[in-house]
Amino acid sequence: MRTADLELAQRCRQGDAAAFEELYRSHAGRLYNLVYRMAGVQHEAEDLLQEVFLQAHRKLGSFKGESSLGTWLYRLAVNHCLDFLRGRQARMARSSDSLDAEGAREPAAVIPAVPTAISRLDLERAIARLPDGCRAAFILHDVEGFEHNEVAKLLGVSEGTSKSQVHKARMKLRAMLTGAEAAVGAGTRRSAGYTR
Amino acid sequence: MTCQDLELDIGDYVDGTLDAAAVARVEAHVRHCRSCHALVEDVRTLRDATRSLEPQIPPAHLWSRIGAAIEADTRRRPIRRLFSFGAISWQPALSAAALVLVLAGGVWVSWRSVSTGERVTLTPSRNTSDVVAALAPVDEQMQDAEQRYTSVIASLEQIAKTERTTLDTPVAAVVDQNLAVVDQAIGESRDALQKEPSSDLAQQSLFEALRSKVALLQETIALINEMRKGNQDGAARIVSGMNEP
Repeated sequence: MRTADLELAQRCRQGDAAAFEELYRSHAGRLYNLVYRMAGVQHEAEDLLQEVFLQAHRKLGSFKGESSLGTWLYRLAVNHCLDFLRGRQARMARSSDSLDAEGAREPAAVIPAVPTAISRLDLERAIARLPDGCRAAFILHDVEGFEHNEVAKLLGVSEGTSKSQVHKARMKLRAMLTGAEAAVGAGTRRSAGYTR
Repeated sequence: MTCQDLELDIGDYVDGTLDAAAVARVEAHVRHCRSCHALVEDVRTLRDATRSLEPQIPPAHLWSRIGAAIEADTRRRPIRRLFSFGAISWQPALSAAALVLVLAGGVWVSWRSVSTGERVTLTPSRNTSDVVAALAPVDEQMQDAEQRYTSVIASLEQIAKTERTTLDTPVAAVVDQNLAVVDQAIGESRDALQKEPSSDLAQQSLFEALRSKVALLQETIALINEMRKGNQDGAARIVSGMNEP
């Protein structure tokens, strides 16, 4: 497998367009799923995937086969998504802050239950609205299925931070899906008067 | 266990990564606390729904767009091919590099031969960014543009030619090979433009090829300079930079 990866990378480096297309066809599906969930918007996901493959094309010289090509590409994509999210987060800082502040100030008294059969569309929309600050950990853990220690490595944070970000994201999703967004502040779930 | 305590453990509990004793504590609390029970159920529902989301599939048109972007990027950065040439590594050339350098910030820099320890004469330096800045008005003055490029290329070629002995033979051969490719592209574009002087495509193609040659020569000169300094880190940075966006 590793040998096949090295050979494919070598052919790509030599300017073999068919080899690069093979690389794309083999890995675009998994990477697109990641960048789509991270970006939350299709056109941004397409831009992100293009940038990931462009960067991969430029950096293939540094691929030494220490991990599989898929893992190497995935890490590249995660890093690219993080840069993207950081940039977007910086641009949206004011509105994100106000969302959190609002949630902290005005906890709702009642949160209805999350419907047991969540519409896929509603869930997709809610995930797309997650704040960038907790999005990456949530996507990697709950969507992509990584363990917290793996998420921590990928994001360069502690395992505890990964857990708290995933928890925060889940609480926000819960609030969004029950129409009780105001109840969810920065990682907290309820007021003393919380009832079902 | 309090509701606050449960909040610390709920993630691990729902994910099934909590140890048995903690699981027992959570379940004991949840049995008597309606809100925590509801919270656990909601998180579990959410988690299951998220895990069962269907994967997003890249649109079919995306490959042609990405392929085109890569091709355009490759044309813009032909030098990358120079350093990714399979059998030829630039590193031996770096270790063989002997002299110190020439070209930084448009100033004159002294160098000395590492091999002889001898101080050598100052050599004229060119700041290639100035050279590129001279190309800025290209879009407004298309008629003069080719002449400008040709003049810039001639200057860069002169520097590269003078200093090329620093390059190891295999690396120099690859440089020549790349220059030949670019020259061929320039020649073909000129032929096309001669046949169809009003063709935007031919015009774009010519300037793209000219830009590629300027970039190739600039990078080659920068590498020569680092090799002359015996600065492997500097040379590595150049190569790394060539691979960066």
